[in-house]
Amino acid sequence: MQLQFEYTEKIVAAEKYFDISRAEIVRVLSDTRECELTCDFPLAGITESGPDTVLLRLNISCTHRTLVESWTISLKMHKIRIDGIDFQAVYYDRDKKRHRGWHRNRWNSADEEANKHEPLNGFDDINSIEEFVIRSLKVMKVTLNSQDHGSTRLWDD
Amino acid sequence: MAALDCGTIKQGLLSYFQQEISIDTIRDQCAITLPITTLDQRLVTIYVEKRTDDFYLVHDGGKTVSELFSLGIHLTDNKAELFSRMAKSLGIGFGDRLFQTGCKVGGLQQAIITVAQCQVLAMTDVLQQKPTLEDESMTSRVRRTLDEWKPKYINKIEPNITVKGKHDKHRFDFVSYPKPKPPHSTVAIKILAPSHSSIWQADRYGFFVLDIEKTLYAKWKKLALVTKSESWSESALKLVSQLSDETISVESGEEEQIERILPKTMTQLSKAS
Repeated sequence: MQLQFEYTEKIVAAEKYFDISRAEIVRVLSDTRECELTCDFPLAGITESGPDTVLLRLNISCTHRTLVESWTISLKMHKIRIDGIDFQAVYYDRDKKRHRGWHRNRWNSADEEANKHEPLNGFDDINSIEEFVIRSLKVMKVTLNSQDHGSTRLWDD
Repeated sequence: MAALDCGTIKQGLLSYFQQEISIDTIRDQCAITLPITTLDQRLVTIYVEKRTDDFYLVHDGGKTVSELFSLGIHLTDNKAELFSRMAKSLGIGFGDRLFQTGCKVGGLQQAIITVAQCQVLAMTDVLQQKPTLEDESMTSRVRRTLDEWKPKYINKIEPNITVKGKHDKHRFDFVSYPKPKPPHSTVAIKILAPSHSSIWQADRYGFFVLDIEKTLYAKWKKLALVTKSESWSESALKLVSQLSDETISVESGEEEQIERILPKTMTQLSKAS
């Protein structure tokens, strides 16, 4: 089986469904500060040969409770980040131009990693995990299960 | 050999730092970015919080652990212990997922440099990151195994079958429908990964099974396929097992066992009345 990085841009641009509710993600992040989710992304319509699906991982981290600027989200395939959002006080884009703030880590097919930083608007006023999850998943085209079944035993495991 | 002018080098270095060090205010904290690059190609930023008149907290904002996690490197107990020892040997601490230290105003410069140093050292695991073809996804493996298994008495095997329970809709990953004669059972497969919490997943599965009770789907034989079974708690596994006609549990790295176990279990469930 071959690594399918040639389809990465199509995967990033496509809607990706993770079978978990937004409320559940917020509950997990509020408690454990990080959350890793997986989905079998169907490759129908993206490639005509090879496997039917590819495993995608979504990693969300809200390590510091109040310092929103340390929070990150990333989408990984074959254990490599293919898309993501985070904040840096100083960073440089591909043209060596200096920037500050929230940005998207865009896929760079030449380097086969998401190292192209693209400034991102609409994140500066985020103050809660829920806002961060809503906005970042919208940008990254991640959809979730609209049904929240909740769990009172979440922290007993 | 020309004489080396160390004074000029020092002046040049000071001037470089003066130009490149960036200081910003973020949520009432001083964010100091140094011209030092981590192995994941970030400039190191250190946060300074004023706690009392002459006491400051200097930390990395949790960015180190956060960035490692976003690259798929988890903070295991061993790694936390290593970070703790690393921080301690440099005179600071690692706690609550932060490299941090407290100091008075006179100690700020040293504290800032040390927190920066820890941030750089902590990212060495990034060097071990390389593209790895993850094992064939479980859905893909099950689909292939079922296609190979399909005996003559099976009419069709369909993926992603949505069923309506009393309160909600649910989805089986695969359903095998038998031909009318001779009579066999319909077998429905649910693949259960531990997700972020195995008990959460088991509870969710429990709701699914109980919600389709007293519907026409209750007659279907339920096969739960539990992946990464080493990550499941005993109580979660027990719950899944009690609610299923059959359970197959596979540990990480043992996924190929599915190709051996699944056909036998499918035959057994299909023939069960």
